[in-house]
Amino acid sequence: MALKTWARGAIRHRAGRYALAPAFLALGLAASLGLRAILPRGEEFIFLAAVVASAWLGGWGPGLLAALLAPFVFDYFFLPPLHTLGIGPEARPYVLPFLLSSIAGAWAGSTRVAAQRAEDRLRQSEAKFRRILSNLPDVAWTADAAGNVVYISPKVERVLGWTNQEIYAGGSAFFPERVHPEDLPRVQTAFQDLVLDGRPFDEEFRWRRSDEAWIWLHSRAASYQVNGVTFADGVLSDISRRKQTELELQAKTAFLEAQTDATIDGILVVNADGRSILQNRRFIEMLSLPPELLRAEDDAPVLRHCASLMKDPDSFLERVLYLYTHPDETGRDELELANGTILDRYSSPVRGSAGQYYGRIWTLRDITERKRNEDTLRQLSAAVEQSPVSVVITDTEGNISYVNRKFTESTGYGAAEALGKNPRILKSGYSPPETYATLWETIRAGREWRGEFRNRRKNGELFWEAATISPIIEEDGSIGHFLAVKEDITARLALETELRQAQKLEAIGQLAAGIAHEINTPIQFVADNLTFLRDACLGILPLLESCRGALRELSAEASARMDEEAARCDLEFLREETPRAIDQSLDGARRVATIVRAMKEFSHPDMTGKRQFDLNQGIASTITIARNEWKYVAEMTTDYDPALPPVLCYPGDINQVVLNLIVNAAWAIRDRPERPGMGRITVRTSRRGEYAEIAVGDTGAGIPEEIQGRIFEPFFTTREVGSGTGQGLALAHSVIVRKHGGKIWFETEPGRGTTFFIQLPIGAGVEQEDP
Amino acid sequence: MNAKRLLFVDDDRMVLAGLRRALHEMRAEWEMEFAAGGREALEAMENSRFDAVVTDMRMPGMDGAELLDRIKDRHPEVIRIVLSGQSEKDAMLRSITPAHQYLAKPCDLRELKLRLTQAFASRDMVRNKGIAAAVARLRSIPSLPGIYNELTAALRSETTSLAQIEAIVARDLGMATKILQLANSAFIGVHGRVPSLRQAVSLIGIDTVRTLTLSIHIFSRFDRHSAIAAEVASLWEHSVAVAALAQRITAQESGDKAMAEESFAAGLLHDVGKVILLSERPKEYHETRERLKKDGGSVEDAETELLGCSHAQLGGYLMSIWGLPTSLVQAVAFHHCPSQAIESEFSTLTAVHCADALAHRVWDGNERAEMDGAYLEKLGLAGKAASWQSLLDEMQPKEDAPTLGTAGLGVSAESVE
Repeated sequence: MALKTWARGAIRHRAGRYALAPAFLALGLAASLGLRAILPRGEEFIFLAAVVASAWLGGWGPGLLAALLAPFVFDYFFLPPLHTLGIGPEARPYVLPFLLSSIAGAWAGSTRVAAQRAEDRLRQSEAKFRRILSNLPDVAWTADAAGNVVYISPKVERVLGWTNQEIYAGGSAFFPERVHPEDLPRVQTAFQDLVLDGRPFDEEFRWRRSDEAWIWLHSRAASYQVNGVTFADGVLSDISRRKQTELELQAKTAFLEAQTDATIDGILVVNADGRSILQNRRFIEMLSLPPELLRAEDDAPVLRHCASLMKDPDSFLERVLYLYTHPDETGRDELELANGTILDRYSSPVRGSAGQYYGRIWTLRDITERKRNEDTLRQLSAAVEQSPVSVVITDTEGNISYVNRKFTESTGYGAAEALGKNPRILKSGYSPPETYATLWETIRAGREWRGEFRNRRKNGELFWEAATISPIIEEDGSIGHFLAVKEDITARLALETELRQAQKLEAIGQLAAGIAHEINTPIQFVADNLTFLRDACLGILPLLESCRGALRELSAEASARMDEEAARCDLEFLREETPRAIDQSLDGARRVATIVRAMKEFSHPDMTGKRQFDLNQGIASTITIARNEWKYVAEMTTDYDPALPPVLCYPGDINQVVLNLIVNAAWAIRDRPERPGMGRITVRTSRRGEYAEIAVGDTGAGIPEEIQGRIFEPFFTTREVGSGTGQGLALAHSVIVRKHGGKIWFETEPGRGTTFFIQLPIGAGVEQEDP
Repeated sequence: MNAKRLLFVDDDRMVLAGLRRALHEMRAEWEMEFAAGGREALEAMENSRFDAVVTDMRMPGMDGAELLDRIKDRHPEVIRIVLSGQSEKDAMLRSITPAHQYLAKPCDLRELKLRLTQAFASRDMVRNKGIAAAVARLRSIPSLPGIYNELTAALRSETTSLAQIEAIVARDLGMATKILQLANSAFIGVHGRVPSLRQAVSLIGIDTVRTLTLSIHIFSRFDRHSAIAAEVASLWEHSVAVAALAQRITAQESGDKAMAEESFAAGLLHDVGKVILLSERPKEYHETRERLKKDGGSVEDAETELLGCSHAQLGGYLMSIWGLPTSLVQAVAFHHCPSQAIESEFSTLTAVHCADALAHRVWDGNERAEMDGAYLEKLGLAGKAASWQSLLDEMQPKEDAPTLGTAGLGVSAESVE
């Protein structure tokens, strides 16, 4: 076999043929020589056969060469003389047969070689096609009109899982059986169109492989006729992967489109030239774009339309142009439409993975509602922040998470100091623990708590707060935070006390006026009558004496009887005591009148305005009405400066302050330990430059050092609950300092006593001393 | 001098009885009747003549204010005094209008006697009964319209100070007189009588002044178009000047600030009688001026002859029935003839008399106006005239006197000509 292949290969080549021809010639010679020994005759025929064979093998060239050489070789080996070069006469008869047979052999050989050459060429070209076909990814096929596959590239096995032999064997049903039933009608129709009408075939369809897997195939084919018989040539390729990608892409696109349309944002995509290539429904709605604009080729009208909707069209256009001319920039801003809608616009360039610029995407979001909510929220937050009441928010543990400005003002703690702390930083110790217990119990139970605290500011000052504390309930019903809204009511309480005091005073004033009227009328006639009695007495007594004198002169007896009568009724005593009794009664009536007047003066409703006030007179009245407060514990010493000018002030308030000081002085004396006997209260007025000074001193216990700094604080009291409001000195401080621009202070020596000093600006009275 | 007849009215008979007993000692000078109510009082008034009525305020049926209103209409010459135990402000303010004076219970009867005696004495000087009645009927001395408007504007503002009010009042004799009347009514305070405007204004208080002015209209004003406008304006000018000068003279002579203020008030009010005459008896008043121009002689004489009293007496009378302090009454009543007064040392009267004479001589060129040499001699002040003159000279450029009156009256310069 190998030899045969080798030989076959050798004779395909010219060199091989040239080599083989002599070789055959030599072989024939050897064979003839060998056979000549055995056979008696006929060696010349064997040789001739060898010559023809070599010519046939070698074709024209080697054949003619063999024809030329043959007579000589024959002559040399077979004709005598043996082994002589050249053609002897014996050889001559052989030349022509040899020549003719060689030529015939060469002719036959050359025909064979030509055929062999053609076959070789064909074979070569076929190999080339086969190579092409086997190298192509696609499968080539040829089929007849009935669908029988007459040729299919062997590669088909790789693609379809079937060998071409199996396909050939499958006949016309092979393919249709395996096409997906959904695709089959279409494919068959297309194939019919191809073979009947010559329409090109180009179909994609699903096909079941030998392993039962479905693949996508794409086939294209053209038809042609050979001797009236129609054939179709085509290619077939597996497009499963592409198809897969395509399907995925389709799905993705569908998703994308759905998403684009489903999104609440308006989206516009423009290409690199600024032409719109996509906008979603929302975009159209938002800008109420008319359909004719959308269909228009040019984008300028769209832009103009958009601009026309804006509150400020110019800046809108400017911004758009800027972004178009600066493809790299991302822009985000808010568009305010003339109709009040606010759109959040986001614009960013669209770039490919390699960074190429495709265009720009614009996103619009309607944030009108959000804006409005934000505004509302901002307002609410500003309202809370600037609220005139303190607002504190704590977590459920009571740690402060928010305080507003008022809190800071009110407590003195800055927000940074307060955050994270517990509100107990304000605790003064004055509010009872039960208050806090109730508070926590109430708010932890989800209810609102209202109450008042007495708290301490950062600077140590005490203040009152009215608080409403409530839990902030989360959506799930749990308590998330606590909210405390607190109002500093110190000033209000002080005012209320002041007001109560004033109301009390006013009521007393009205009552006093009524009582005064009731008392004054009888006092008028009591005094009138007493005056009359005194005058009468002063007239009668001398008359009585002169009567007795006259009687003595007239009758000693009558006189003696008279003396007796006089002695019996103790005339001497009557004469002495009656005028005195009347005088003292008059004095008493005057005293009653003074007290009534003092009461009226102290509490007169008219005294609430600002006016020139005689301090000495006012203080005297006040001492009179407060007599009951001090007379059992102290003696009162007064020292009024007669040159004290009237002071421009609120007399009612000043009276009240002096009364408080006198009452306090009496208390201080009463409270002193182990100092029996009467104390002393000293009230003194004097002028100190532009000020009138009132000093109220006592010989009481003095003020302990630890509370000296606090006695002017509102609600500070050393007495037991119920015996004082604790407002007396605070009120005094407020009246003197705030209302009158004066000063109030005290000097104290524990165990010795305290003196309070008040200085009031004398006011307008002094300024115009010299007109 | 015949006995004065007084009528006391009170619904409390005990009060009447007490008064009757206590005033019994006055029986030589006073004839007293007692009525237990308004109706009785009016009956008594119908039956006989009275010089003065002293009434309680709150009485069943007809109250004191109503009673006085009626008496004022029917018997205008009667001096009307309230003696009340009441202290409600409204009722008191209501009674201010019909009463000349308001005294509070319990009242020391010495005070009542003093006031009545003074009023009677002043009235006895006014021989013209018609004019006396006119004075008693007066509710107020009219103010200059300009100053009046200034005051109401100031009072409408919440920020006005007492000093501002006082400064306005001190430029107008109408307001000044009324303010002094109110301050000397006992309901304002229990202080002694008040001769100084500053004290008076501050005693009353700005709120009360506001109510009195804006609601009760205690002040009145001249019609700026009236025939007497020009005279009134120059009178004001003169009064303010005399007030200032009298104050300076007193300050220099006595050094007593209270007395200086008193002198200011007296100076301001010294010609109040002229204002009364101008508005009540303009014809007679002008006759006296004509007579003076023609015949010369003293103002006092001319007025007494024609009117039955001088403007000084008239002013004194008004002030006495309005309860102003005796020193003021004296200073006004005798400012032309100080020697007739009882005073025998430097007083408000002295200051007003001299200031008036100096002002007339220097500013009006009135040579007749002279200081009473004998009086000054008696007081030992004869040599002082020159130094007072210099006080006046110092004052002159400062006081913008000539324009004050016209501005205050609110008339143009032409109409003053």
